[in-house]
Amino acid sequence: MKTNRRQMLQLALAGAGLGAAGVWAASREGRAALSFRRAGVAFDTGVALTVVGLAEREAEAALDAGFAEIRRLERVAGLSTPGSDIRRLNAEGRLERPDQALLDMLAVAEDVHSASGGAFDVTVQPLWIFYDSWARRGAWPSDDEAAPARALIGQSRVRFDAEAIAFERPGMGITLNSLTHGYAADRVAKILAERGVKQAFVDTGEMESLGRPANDRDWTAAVKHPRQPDAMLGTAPVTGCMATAGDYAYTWSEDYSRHHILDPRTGYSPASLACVTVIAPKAVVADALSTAVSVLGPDEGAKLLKHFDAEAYGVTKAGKVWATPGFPRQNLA
Amino acid sequence: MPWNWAGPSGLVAALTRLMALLAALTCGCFFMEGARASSLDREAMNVLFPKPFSVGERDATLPVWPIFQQSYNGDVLVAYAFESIDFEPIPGFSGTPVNLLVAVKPSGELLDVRVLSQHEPVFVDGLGPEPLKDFLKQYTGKSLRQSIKIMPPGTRDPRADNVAAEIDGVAKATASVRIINETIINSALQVARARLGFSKGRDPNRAARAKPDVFEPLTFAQMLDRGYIRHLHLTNAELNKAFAGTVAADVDEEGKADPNGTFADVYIAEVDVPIVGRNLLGEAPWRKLMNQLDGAPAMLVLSSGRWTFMPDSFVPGATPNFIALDQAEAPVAWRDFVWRDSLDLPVPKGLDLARSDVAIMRIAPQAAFDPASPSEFSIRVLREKGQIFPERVTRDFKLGYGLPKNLFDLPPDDSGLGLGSIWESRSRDIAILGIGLIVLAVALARQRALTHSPRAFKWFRLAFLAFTLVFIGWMAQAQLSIVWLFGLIKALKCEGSFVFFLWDPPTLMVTIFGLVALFIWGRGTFCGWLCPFGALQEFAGEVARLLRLRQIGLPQRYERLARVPKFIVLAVILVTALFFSNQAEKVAEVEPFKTSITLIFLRSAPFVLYAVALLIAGMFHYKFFCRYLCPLGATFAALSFVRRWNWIPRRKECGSPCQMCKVKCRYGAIEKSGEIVYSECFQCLDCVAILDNPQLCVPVVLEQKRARRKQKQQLEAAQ
Repeated sequence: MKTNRRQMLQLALAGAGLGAAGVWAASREGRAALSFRRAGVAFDTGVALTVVGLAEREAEAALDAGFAEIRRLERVAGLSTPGSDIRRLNAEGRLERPDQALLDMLAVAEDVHSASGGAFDVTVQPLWIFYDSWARRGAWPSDDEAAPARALIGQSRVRFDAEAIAFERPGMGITLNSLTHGYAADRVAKILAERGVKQAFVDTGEMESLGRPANDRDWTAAVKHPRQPDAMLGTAPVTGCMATAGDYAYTWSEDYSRHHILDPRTGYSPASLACVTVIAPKAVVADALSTAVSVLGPDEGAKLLKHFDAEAYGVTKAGKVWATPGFPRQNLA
Repeated sequence: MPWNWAGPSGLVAALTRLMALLAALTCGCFFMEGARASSLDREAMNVLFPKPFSVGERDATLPVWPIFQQSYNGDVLVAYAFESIDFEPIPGFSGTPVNLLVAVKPSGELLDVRVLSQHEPVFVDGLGPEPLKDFLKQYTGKSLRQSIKIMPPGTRDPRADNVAAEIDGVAKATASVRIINETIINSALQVARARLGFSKGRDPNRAARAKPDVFEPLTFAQMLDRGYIRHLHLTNAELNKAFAGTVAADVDEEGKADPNGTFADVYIAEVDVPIVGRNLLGEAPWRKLMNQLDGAPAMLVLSSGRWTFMPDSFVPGATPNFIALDQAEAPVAWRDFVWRDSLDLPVPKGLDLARSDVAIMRIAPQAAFDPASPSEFSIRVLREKGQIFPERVTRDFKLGYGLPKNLFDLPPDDSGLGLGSIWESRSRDIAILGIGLIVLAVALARQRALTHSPRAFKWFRLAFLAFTLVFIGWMAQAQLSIVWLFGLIKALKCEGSFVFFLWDPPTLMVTIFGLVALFIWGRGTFCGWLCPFGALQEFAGEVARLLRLRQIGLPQRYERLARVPKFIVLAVILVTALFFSNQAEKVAEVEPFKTSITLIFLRSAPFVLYAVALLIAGMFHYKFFCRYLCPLGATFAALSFVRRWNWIPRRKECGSPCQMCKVKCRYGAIEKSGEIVYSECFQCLDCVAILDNPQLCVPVVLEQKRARRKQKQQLEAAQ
């Protein structure tokens, strides 16, 4: 599973504004319509919204509305936001009358969980915390020591409906960090569209585009090099939703063998892919799939992607490029 | 009986009036706008951070703005910008906190510090805002991971201490720049902790420093006894016990054969502490090490026995894998310093240096390791079972380390305001002023003895006034000012903090002394003895006397009227302070104190001309400013009803018929009736001296004349 923390902020900020290259270039070239952009820090990463084709006042109002939704979702699903709903849920094991956002995300998590044969599981959070506490001490637990934390994993033991979300076992916890960025992109894009925005680029850590940029080309996103902090592998057009998962975003070991994505079935970090970028009809699905494919690896990942009508591009830890046939990789290695 | 007790009912009434006054002031304050709210909105931030910067969406939980810079691969977060007033509103001398715009980079370096608003008297008009701007420029590039020291201008030694960043202070604004420094550092640290993952509670500014001069020759054994060196010893049997029950329980054949044999024998010592390092390494090597360490703490680790922290996989210069140091339950970052010199000290029997590994680990300065607090050293023993895919089992063994506090200069423990250092740095001023105030208190309490010899008294008074002008005013910079009253008003207000008074110890001492004396002698003690500008005027008056300048007097009824303007001035200033607080400093320029005392006349011409004009006026009409215009004097005069004693002795002849003291009083504080107007009395003691002087006090002179005549008559009658 993917959990972004403060330490990765700089890294993430360098790359998370993936669309910026294109957007920036677009905003300089195009004179057809004005483009308004606002960046910020949310969900422990850099976020940025760009709207095109509105007058300044409406554009600023739309940006305000977008950020308001981002802030709201932080208070609902942000693991590092003090007092957030998800933190209360994890602390108490139960949350009454959950926000619709939590229910929506859990529903997507259910889909991806069952379609991936359990390779995607939001209940890895206790194991993540356990590993992180060891790593902070410069140590790593043995399998025996990790066993109790591993035993708390099991998405089927999370009950949720409009009344409440509840865990069946004490000590369980969930992370929605592999869904929230994508979900936020969907929500913000929807809110912008409702305000009459026809051209926008939403980067909440994952990406979603509306229409085209001011220069009438495609919105483009840079795909980050998984091993060189400031380098990129190339760019990809964003004509919908795109999400990326990478072992580099938060790693516990310098060789990236122990990192923030965990295989819920084994308790280890998956060893095949270094990074995966997924294009899917919805950003929240793309977000979840990027994590699930990282866990499953290329072969099984391809089957999962097909199930959700998604495409992906990735690089293995050995440095080999892998992509599904439908991924627009003309500007990529 | 010269000291008339006004009675307890008088005291109650006086206190009630004082309370009513304070209550009125406090109520008035509630009408003031909330000065603490931050002032910048998105547009204002855009102006402050123009292209290539872009101002991000304000943080959800903290009042900070992320500042981005566009680069080829997206928006890069270059800083968090915030208003210091939202985090660390330390009231300055005007009582209003200085508000600064601070931008701190993700690395913990300060990108920029700018003034948003400030009402520090010295920077409003005195020195002007330029020196403050120059002062703040020095913060750019300084890291919060360093401790920042403010040095008196020109005393900075670039080679002195490489760990602390030194910046130049501003002459005549010592206390203000310290308040500003605290504001910057404390607010930026709060943001750094909340947003940059800085460790809590381990502030580099607050870490202890080893005292450089604590040293005595010690043997290895003595250092072990004192805990300067700590020793961890493990036998093979103890180790096997620790691994019992794991897959690696039985892998150690060598150990099983010799259960009592040594497995690990580890010594640690913090070598940057002189008494430890100099003894262990020898004088010259230790000095060389200290030069190279660049002020960072360092631990010497020595291991013999079968276990070593330097196995074949050990990478010189890297963070070691098998030893760790923790403090306050957080790991301390350290690295091998690649220092392999041996010890210069006989070691205990059985410890074979030739067969030991010795290394020095340099602790990163940003780890904020506090050598005066306990830390925990641990070694890790790794066992592997199997050949191709070995199973690994590790066990940690811990060893506490802590040095006694008396080896260190401990940081001031002062609720984080850094006040201790200011009291310490001004200890000389505090001592001299303290002595001066004691001398004054004793002298005034024994006024009759003091005035017994008019000549000696005059010299005492002039000498003390010289002390007041030169030391209290110009050197210690303790001229009280009406601006302090603003501070007091704001402190009484909701945002109240009296802490700012503590920033300037001499001024605080003079204030307290003046207020206590107000209860005893009235306003005169401060106005007549402790006000540097008052003293300056008094000297101007003396010069006038030497030049035999003609004095312009006022008839009594005009004299009474002339006392009124200073209260009007005070009222105007108070109203301004309450309702137009940002204009208050300008109105306070009625006082020439800043020009003449704080800045010693080094100021632009209009201010100097005004101050000089007041002094010249004082040469023709004694203490013109004090008596008719001074708002601070008016404050003291208004409060002088709290005075409890009529301490100036009177005779029944005073006023009728004798007008001697009235004529002699240079302050016009004695009515024709002989009554003393204490609220106008400057406690010059001239009338006290007259009253006790058989050559000057008319009733006494007459009495003596009468007595002599009587004696003569009696003598004549007897003849």
